[in-house]
Amino acid sequence: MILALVLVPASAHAQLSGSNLLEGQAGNYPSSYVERGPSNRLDLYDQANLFYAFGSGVAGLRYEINRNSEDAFPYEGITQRFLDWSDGRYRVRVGNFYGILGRGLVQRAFELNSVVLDMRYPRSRFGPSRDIDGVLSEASFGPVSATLMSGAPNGGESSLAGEEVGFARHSGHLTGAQIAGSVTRHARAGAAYVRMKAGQGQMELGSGFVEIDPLGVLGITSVSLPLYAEYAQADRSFAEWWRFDAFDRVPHALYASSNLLWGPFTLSAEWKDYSQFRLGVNDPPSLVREHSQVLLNRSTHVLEANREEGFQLESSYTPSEWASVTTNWSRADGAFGDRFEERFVELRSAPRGAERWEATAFYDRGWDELIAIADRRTAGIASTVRAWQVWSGTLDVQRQIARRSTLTQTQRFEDLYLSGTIARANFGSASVVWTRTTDPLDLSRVDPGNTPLHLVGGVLDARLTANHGATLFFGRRRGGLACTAGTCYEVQAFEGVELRLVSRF
Amino acid sequence: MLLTVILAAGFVSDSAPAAVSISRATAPRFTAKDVTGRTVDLDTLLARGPVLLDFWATWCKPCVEAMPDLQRLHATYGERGLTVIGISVDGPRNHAKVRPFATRLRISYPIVIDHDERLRHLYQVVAMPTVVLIEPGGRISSVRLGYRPGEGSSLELDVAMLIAKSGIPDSSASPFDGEIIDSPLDRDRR
Repeated sequence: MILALVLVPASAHAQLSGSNLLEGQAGNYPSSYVERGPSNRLDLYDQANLFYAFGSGVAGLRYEINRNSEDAFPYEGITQRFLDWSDGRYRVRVGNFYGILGRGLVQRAFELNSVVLDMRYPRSRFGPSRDIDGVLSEASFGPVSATLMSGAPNGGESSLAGEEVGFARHSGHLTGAQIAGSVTRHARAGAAYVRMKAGQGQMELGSGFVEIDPLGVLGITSVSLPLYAEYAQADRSFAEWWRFDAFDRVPHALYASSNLLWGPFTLSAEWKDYSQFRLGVNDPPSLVREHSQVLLNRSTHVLEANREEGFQLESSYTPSEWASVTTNWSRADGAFGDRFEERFVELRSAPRGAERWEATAFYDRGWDELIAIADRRTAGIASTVRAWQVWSGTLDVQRQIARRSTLTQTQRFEDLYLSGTIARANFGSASVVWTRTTDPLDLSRVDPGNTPLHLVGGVLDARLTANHGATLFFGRRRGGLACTAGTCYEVQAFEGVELRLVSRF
Repeated sequence: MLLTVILAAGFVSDSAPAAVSISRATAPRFTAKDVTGRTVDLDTLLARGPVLLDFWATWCKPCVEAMPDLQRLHATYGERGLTVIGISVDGPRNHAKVRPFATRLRISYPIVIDHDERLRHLYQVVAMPTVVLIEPGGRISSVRLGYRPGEGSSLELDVAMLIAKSGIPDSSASPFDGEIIDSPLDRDRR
């Protein structure tokens, strides 16, 4: 790769650019007292991305380094490198790449941008990425487009340090292809095929999808009704695939979605039916709302693709610029009759495009029998007020009460979240975050029981220059589930100081 | 190792600066489809005037806070050559919600979904939102990481200066004028 960079011909348009993410921590995981180690463990993680653009090509690499004061499982090295060439019709990429077939039922390679995760063993920090190390080729001929990919997939759960103890980041082999064609700009159809080998087993996946806006095809522009449907099966012949079996015994994934956009009213409807479709390096869409509210974001339902069917309906009505109302109803039924269900409503007001102020209030009720949550109610209100053009203040208050029922006991617990932020445009912001929980299973808890646990943290955020930003966190941060870009992961509780520097150059 | 690569790349690119500041770098060209199926071609748009790319997501609060400012720029400077493109980096979990979401926020500029993360990587997006302002000549004029309320004003200054410098006459027809627009705001404008 390095050689490739050096041998790339110089051109008038050649340019080198990049980005860097540096994160340093002094502190520890409060919950994991068994693995706790020193109380002020120092950890430094850096991820540098370099891009060299020349003519129609781009060469790039990612370099990751992680060091800690215990000198346990440090690592450094190139974790990604690629050479990408494209013109208007063709694209070839050799090395690490990302890509998606259909809506990602059978394959989606992606990364969680700017997320740094803790790997518990060997304890190390890394940027999660489900890239593929191989070759990607794309071509388009008028309305027809084709994609070919082949390489070793990355499960996304291991750092470079993991390879020292036998966790290979890229393992097995995946070959995929997709062909799609557009009849008009409002109608598109395609098919995808994936052959995957992980460990001893091999799997074949076939998928077909269609995307159409029937009203658009008819020339109606005042109302839009885009529809999407995709059906995938595993280890079936073409003749079997064509029968669209959706019985539990047939490994399949069926996903359909629709939008209705009619003036101030919008509706999005999605439906799923997944059976034996846990692929290891890929998950189909979960169809559960990804909330931006902190307490709801961490209470999300985790998809069980081995058996799950359900739907999600989300509507909004925006009668004027003063107000909008959004409702969401999601449901997922699992293999053992376990049900996740959530009903959400949010009111938002942002007069004159939030020139002076904006406010939102929400209420959510749900339950998730897969994790024994029998009832969960969450409400909150947030408001941002602007003053003197550059100053703003935001207050965010949320409360959640929940009941966890198992065969032997019932636990009731409460979560409170309060955050206040003062920000100055083009300069930075200062926030205080206070969380109180009585959840006996909370990851941040050191001692057992349900005594109230208080977690207080501060965040200072500054724009250092046009291309450099810094964020300083100090205090206690709550552990648990978090979701970013549709993917959920576990965040370790943290107590200490953390500095993050983000740069582009 | 890193140093070697930087030095090597700088050595071979003798006709260009070794490390071009991102704010003067050439914007990577791309062609994509927006959520209504229209073709968004950067070269075509740059021929008309400056282009503002906003990398955002439905789950990102600061992104949502920034969008009314971008809509204002689209409404104010759209006819003077500015094209605002929203690039959603949402994953498949949220693809079906992107278009209704933009409609709810009364957004009428084109929205592209970055299905395969190609655009995000091309523009090295490391924070959300990231707003990239591109000069008509194809150079990146400025990159803004994150958003705090009130930052729309300084962005507007950048846009106004760029448009004044470009000398683009008023009423330059947008390639998206008269196309499918879902926002009630745009219907009001028309």
